Amino acid sequence: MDYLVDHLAILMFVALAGMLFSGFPVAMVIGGISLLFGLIGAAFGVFAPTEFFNFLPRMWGGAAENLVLIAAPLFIFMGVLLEKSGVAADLLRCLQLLLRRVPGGLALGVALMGTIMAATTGIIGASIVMLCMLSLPVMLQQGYDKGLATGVIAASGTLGILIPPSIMLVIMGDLMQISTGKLFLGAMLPGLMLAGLYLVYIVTVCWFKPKLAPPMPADDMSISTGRLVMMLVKGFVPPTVLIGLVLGSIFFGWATPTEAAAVGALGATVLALAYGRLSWRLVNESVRSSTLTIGMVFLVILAATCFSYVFRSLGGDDVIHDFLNASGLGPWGLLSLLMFAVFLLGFFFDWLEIILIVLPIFAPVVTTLDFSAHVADKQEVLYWFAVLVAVNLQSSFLTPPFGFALFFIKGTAPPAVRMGHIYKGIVPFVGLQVVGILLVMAFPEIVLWLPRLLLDK
Amino acid sequence: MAANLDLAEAGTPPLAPPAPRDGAGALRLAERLDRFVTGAGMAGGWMIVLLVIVVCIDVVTRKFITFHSTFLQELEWHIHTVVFALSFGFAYVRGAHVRIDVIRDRLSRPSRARLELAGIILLLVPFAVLILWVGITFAHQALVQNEGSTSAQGIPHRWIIKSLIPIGMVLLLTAAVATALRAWCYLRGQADAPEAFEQEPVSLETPGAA
Amino acid sequence: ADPTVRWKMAGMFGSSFKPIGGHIVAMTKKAEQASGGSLKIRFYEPGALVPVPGIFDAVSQGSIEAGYAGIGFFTNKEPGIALYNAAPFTPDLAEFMAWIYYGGGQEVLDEVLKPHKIKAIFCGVLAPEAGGWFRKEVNALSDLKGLKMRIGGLGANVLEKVGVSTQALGGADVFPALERGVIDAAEYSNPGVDESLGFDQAAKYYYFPGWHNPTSPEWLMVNTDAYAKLTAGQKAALDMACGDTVARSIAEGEVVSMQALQRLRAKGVQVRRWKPEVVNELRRMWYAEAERLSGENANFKKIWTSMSNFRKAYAAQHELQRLE
Ligand code: NA
Ligand code: NA
Repeated sequence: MDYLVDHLAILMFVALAGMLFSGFPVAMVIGGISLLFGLIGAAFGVFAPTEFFNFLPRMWGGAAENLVLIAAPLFIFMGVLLEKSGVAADLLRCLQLLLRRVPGGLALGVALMGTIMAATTGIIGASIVMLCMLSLPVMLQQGYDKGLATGVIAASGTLGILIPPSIMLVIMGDLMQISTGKLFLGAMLPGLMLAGLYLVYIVTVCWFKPKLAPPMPADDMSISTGRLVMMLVKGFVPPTVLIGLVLGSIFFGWATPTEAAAVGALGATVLALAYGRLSWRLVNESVRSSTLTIGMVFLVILAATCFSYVFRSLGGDDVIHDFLNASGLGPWGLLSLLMFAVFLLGFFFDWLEIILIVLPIFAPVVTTLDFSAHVADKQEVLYWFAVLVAVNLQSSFLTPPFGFALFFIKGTAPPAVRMGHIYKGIVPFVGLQVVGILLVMAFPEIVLWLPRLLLDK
Repeated sequence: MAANLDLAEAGTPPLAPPAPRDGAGALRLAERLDRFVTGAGMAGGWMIVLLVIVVCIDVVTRKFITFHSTFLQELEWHIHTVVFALSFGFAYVRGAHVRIDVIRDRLSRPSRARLELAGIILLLVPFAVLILWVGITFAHQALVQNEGSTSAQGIPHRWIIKSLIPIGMVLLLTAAVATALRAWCYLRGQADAPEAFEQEPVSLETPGAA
Repeated sequence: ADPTVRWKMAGMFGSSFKPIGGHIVAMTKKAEQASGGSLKIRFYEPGALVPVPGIFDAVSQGSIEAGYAGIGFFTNKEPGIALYNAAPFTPDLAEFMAWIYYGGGQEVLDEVLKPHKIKAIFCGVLAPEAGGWFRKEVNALSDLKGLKMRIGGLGANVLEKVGVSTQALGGADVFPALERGVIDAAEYSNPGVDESLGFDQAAKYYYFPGWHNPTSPEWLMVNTDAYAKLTAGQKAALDMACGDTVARSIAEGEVVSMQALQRLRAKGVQVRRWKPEVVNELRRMWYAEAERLSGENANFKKIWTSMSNFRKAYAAQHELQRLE
């Protein structure tokens, strides 16, 4: 019986995994399990019923009084407007035309758009939703494999957490007491490298299995040069203006990344107006769609804060800690184990939770490890480690059952796309993430070269 | 080009309100509750437009004139909180809450309805009632402490905005009652399956393309 | 032996937050050892249990037994407690400790926090704060006018009067905002923390002293019901652990600031002192603001009066002991 009580946190995971497959909304399953295990804990005297009161301040700080998350509704709204006004479709059509001779051209376009959007924000949910709305219907209509289509959206949509500006890197820098500016520079190349890996993978797999990504119908391919140029102008100018607006407002210091979301939303409205597509109906429809998505996303966020509280209160942290202590490994063994642990935690937790659990436990461990043959400067080891964790945490968005990217896609995709398609589609991209982590582990210069170049030591 | 797909309910044509057969009273009540949470959700949703305007005013005024932007920044998260809190119930009646449907897809429609009723009773209602209860305590505490902003330039009377979480839970419970009534009537053969959990999968593939 | 007591303690500072983080964790261990293992306080990282702004309510409700924080953070719950942690022109540490331990400061605090069911124990000190990072030089009060500056607490009230547009940005937003010029200036913390956040990459001028928050006493907040359940031995263990933490955190804070400033200077940061007339003018405005706040809130007035009376009485002693 005592054994059972000590491992209630583990049981909680098992129960969650099982209950999620009931098909009842994820948010309510997470919330219900949190309540249930709080009560079980209370029955065994390891959870005080007054602790339920801690749910509210957690929800409040996590979702409401949070200047970072206000970007979520703004980016979602911007995405819906772009989609409904047809501006985004024009851009995608252009990328499609430009890449039409390349295998998997449409998927390549998505990966490129994801990378560009990553440079405007670090808000994953918004990027995914936007990419999903812009490109998924088009890809499905053209007969793309549902797995490939959702996989490329999930992977490129999560690049924003790695490619600066990134809220995650800011918080990591704060927690580890290292320079955010330097961390931004350090994460730049690994982020672009991952984008490159996606592109290479798409071209390769589509070359060998053309059925996964059927090319455009022939009548669409034959287009006069004059019309093509016109289309390019019409397709590329609006989004370029918009990206310029979002990126520009950040880099010229007019707005924080969060505020840039509103600038982008206003820009999208102006573009819709300029193209004569703005109407009361369009705005009302955009408001409606955005609200439904926001309801879904934020109820999951609220419920997840309850779940992680009960997990922690039942001693889940200790289980992780004991597991690490029992290993007795050398520097490389321990680093690998830490990376594996982060990866494993990523299946269940979102990045903020993991950072809160993992960094305070792991960072001091890493400072004591001797990597002098690999990374000479002791301070640089911390930056290397931080970026490794960041790449790893990007994967956590992709891994089931708690892969937020997967939820966002499922919430946005047409019903014809089932969770099974999304799970299948994500596998090769998670594989690419692992390759990325291994490359950064083997070649720390990928992280350290740019900061060394740009910041005098 | 499927350009006019909805975001959270992509590809699903809105189902007509179930035609009342028997049990018309229960269905009429469900309809009224549905309209209530939909109205609240859309009212909150339109605040997104206000949010865009407020943030842009903050950005522009800060650039060109000296302005007390602490107030605007607090207004921003206040609006944001209104938007999401009012949307929970709306999202539920429209079937927008994400589900892992791998197994559920293989069940018969009546089984899904029974499963939904069980979920409402065992998971949704207990959780929402718990959050309602601790949420009221949370807002009440802010009221008795006369809690304001941490900044002298901020927005006072925090209890008002803190009440939005319990209000959101009331809307979610209302949506749950509407859905439960409809599921019950559906199981008794008195209505169509509710939109909250029963959407017709629509194939997007154009003929011959897949 | 005393019955075993297990507390959850929510931190406002992380265990790796130098120089105070290590002292907080050490404090819990000392309390446990001194109580013969019967008082087990478990430290939780910031946000792990409740977000930092929620610590006050959680301790007050007893949903967690304890919190470790700068209580000045919770002025929206009880305005006067700012004077115990993060107020402009506070006494230096010797004077502050004299007021707390022997001048009635603790008694007034107990009285004010009693309705909130919180007992606050003086339990550590953060290194003195700097006056802030500025992208341009500040030679006169007029140079501050029109600046957009991140500054928290009551210092913001004073600067608003000077014509500064104060910004209440959260911790993580400050660096990028300053780096990109969204804001012109920012005060964040002491030199050690500021250095590790890389502020030297965002602004060139670093001003001293931190008039807005010259001393930063930190507090162990305990739910009064939980505190009442302790035995006399456990209470003594807590007092000893906190007293030791106060002494050691003061000492380490000075060393960490000293070393950080040496490194920052070597990197070319322009370390400046405020012109005396700027400080004097800010002090005058702070006293006016404190009078205004006293008029608004009875508890603020009670604390302000206690502190001011003590300072008046102490001034003569302070003057006599001063070496030229
Ligand atoms: Na980014
Ligand atoms: Na995951």
